[in-house]
Amino acid sequence: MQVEFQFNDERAICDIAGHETLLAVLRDKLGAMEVKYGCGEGACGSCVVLVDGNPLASCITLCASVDGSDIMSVKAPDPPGAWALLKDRFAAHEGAQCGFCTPGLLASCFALVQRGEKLTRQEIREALSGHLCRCTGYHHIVDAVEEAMAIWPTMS
Amino acid sequence: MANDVLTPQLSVIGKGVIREDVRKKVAGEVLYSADWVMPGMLYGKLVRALYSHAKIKKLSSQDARHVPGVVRIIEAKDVPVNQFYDDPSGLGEKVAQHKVFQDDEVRYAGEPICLVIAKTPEAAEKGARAIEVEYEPLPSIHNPLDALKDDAILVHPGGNTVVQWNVHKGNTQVAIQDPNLVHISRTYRTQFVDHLYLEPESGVGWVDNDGIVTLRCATQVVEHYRNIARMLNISENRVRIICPYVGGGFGGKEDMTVEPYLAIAAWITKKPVKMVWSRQESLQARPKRHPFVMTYDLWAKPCGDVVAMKVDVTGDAGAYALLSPRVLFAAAVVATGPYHIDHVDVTSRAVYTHNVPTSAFRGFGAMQMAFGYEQIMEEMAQKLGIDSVGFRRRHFIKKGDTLATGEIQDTAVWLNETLDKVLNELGEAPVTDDGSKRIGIGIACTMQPYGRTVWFQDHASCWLNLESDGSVILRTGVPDIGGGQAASLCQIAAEILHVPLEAVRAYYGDSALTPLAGGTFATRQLYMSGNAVVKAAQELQEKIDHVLKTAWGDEGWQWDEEGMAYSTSGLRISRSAVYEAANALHYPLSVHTTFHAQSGEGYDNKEGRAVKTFPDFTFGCHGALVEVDVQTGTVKVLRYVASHDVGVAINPLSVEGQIHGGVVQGLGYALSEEVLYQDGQCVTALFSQYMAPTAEQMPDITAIILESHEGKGPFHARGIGEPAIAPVAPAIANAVANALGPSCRVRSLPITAEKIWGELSGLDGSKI
Repeated sequence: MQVEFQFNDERAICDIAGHETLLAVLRDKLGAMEVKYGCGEGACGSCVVLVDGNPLASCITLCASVDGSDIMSVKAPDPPGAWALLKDRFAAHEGAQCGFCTPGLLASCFALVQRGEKLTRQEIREALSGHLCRCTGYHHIVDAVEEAMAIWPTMS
Repeated sequence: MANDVLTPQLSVIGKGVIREDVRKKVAGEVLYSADWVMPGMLYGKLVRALYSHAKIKKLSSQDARHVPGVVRIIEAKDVPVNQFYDDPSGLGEKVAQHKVFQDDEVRYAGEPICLVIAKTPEAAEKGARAIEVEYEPLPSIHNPLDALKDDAILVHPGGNTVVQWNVHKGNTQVAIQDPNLVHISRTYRTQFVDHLYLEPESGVGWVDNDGIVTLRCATQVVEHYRNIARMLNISENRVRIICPYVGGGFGGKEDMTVEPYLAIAAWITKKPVKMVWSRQESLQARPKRHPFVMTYDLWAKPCGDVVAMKVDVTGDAGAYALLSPRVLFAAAVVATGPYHIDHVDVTSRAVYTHNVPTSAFRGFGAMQMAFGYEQIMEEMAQKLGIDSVGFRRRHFIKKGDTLATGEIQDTAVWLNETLDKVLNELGEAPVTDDGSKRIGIGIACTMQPYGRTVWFQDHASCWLNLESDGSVILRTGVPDIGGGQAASLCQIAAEILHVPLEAVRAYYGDSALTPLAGGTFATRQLYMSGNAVVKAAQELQEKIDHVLKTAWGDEGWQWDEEGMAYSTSGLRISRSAVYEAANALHYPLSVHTTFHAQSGEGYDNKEGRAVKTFPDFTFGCHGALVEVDVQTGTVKVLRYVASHDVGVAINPLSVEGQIHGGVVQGLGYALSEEVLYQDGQCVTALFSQYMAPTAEQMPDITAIILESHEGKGPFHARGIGEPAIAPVAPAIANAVANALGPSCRVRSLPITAEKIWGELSGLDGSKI
């Protein structure tokens, strides 16, 4: 079957089998290597991308189901600067160490920041509980997100 | 020498500089091992054993060969040398380790049997399912204590004891005769846990233009190219391992994972081959942390003076030795904790079973012991009716003391200092008026080695040179597993060479093109490669100074922030001008050097004594405030404070990150994580069944970094990678025990709600 969707503001038309996951199509057909395989169960969060603005685990999302959708990864064009803000704060606080969970994690953070959420540290922790990071202990991640939320959208 | 470096005013060292690798990672621009793609690439899938102990009667690959897309089945007979050997204790005993492919007697469920190579991952998977293995199941043994019995089933013909280490100090037998002594005996148990790095084991292998077997894979040790050469029976100069940024290691990528399979597949097919282990096979079949059974016997005078300690440790090695001898050695060395005790007997042994092999994991045996020594000290203080903090302080080792092994602790021991900070920050336990909740406070003080045991003759090399434009290239074989291994080396080079940090570029982790630095394990990389870079940078700076003086005269040269040399007479010379001048003088501004760690004799296991075991230790104290729900037994960590003396923090932000990460990994170990096996079959082989902590269950962590300026690393730094995890489980255990009240204590990990509820209900927690 054929699916058509927007990926990082570019039109993607892919011939796929019905069982193919969004993760497999993004990586193997579109070369989007920033989308990571971590568990294949939708449990670790490394494969999360934004589908019409909502964070979804691409490893348990059938590609057929995203026909017509607008999909974004951490490499999406970023005129408003929310991705850039998050990346910068993550770097400044060392919110990544090995970095493997980071692109997926940033997708969830982007969704929060872009819709103007101002959350407490505990609320940020709850909002990110679908992501597992094994290096940072989360503290620096929460620092980065808290700061990004405080700055956004006044910086744009 | 390296240790004498202490520049009075440091410009880059000690600054929380932003790591360039982190910038690339957050941008999604890093291509990890599984992200590499090559033309005509094939895919590999392992067939793993279904039984924990069985004879392989027959392997039929006929059906698999007919699966569309399957290219080749690789079996034991296809491997030139199908057996790995090693000397894991480093004392000259060659141990037969695992085979590449098991073709005779399966010893654990998940042991690799053959490899299917196909044009797509799906075809490889289908092919693997079509392989038929006929087994004759055999009785198996899974409890290491049972495996020690005389009539136990043998896992290997030589007996089930992999290794036994002894530490003797003083004369315990005589010392414990005093009838006035108070004696307690307790057994503490730890569990199987998984590293659970986010990046599964993965890589691509190919044979390059010159016939070199090349593997680009996730590993902590590029030196495994030598094992691969032995396996293929080719010369070591025909194998190359390239290690891109690794998506987490924690010891789990210290033994080989995909390396032999990528190599044999590329060697036989002459095509690039990719392999990514599924999370489920990683959970099922990859080495885990050793479960320990630790029995502590402690004797003290009623006044609170410890007289003697006996420790008996059994670690489950699983089916193959891997690094078990070293893990149990580290356990033996720190078994008494950071305490000065005159009479000590320690026995630690690793035992073969038909369980999944166990091997390196952050803390490497030493961290499990903290769960023992920090509880027995607490329990003894309770028995004596004295303050446990004062009891600890009274026995803390000090600089210059003789440790249990007989070696002298020759650097600062800031146990009191870290303990003070933690107690001060934690404050008093708050009172709760909620009758269903109890609050507890607990601490743990630990020591953890950094660097390899001294008889391993450890060394690390690097190559540093000035480029024609004045930039600096640092080449080092360090695998960067996420702790900022390469970035901190750049800081060191920039500091000594007086150049801006951006002017230094590290090329890392390539066994062919970067000088070998040894693996990133044992908290050794900052100590070893850091010192190597100090040595190289000092030599390079001397050369630069020489060129300046030769070409422009002895003008009292100094360096400005942009990395320009300026003289008292007003000259201003760029580094590219220095490069040109050096060229004209036929004086290359390039240094290749090797740092050799302090080395020493092998351990005297008969006497249980050493002149030196590890180069040094990192000390620290953690404290936790917990809330226990008495109705459900659940634990909530309200506050967590962690303090370590790191000598000097090269990058305080990264040090803090190591502490935060160690604490949370330790909290998972303490409270929730466990890989469960039933008769050797993994029953938690799903990521979602393995209870690693997510953000919402974790508290903010107060990390307090102290700097004694007495480490043995660059600028007197100490290692912090592993030390950060050791105190967590005992601090939590003590806090939970404190909350539960007298006579209630969970002595096995993880400290689950069920076990706590059992304690509160007067049931034996271990039986639940």
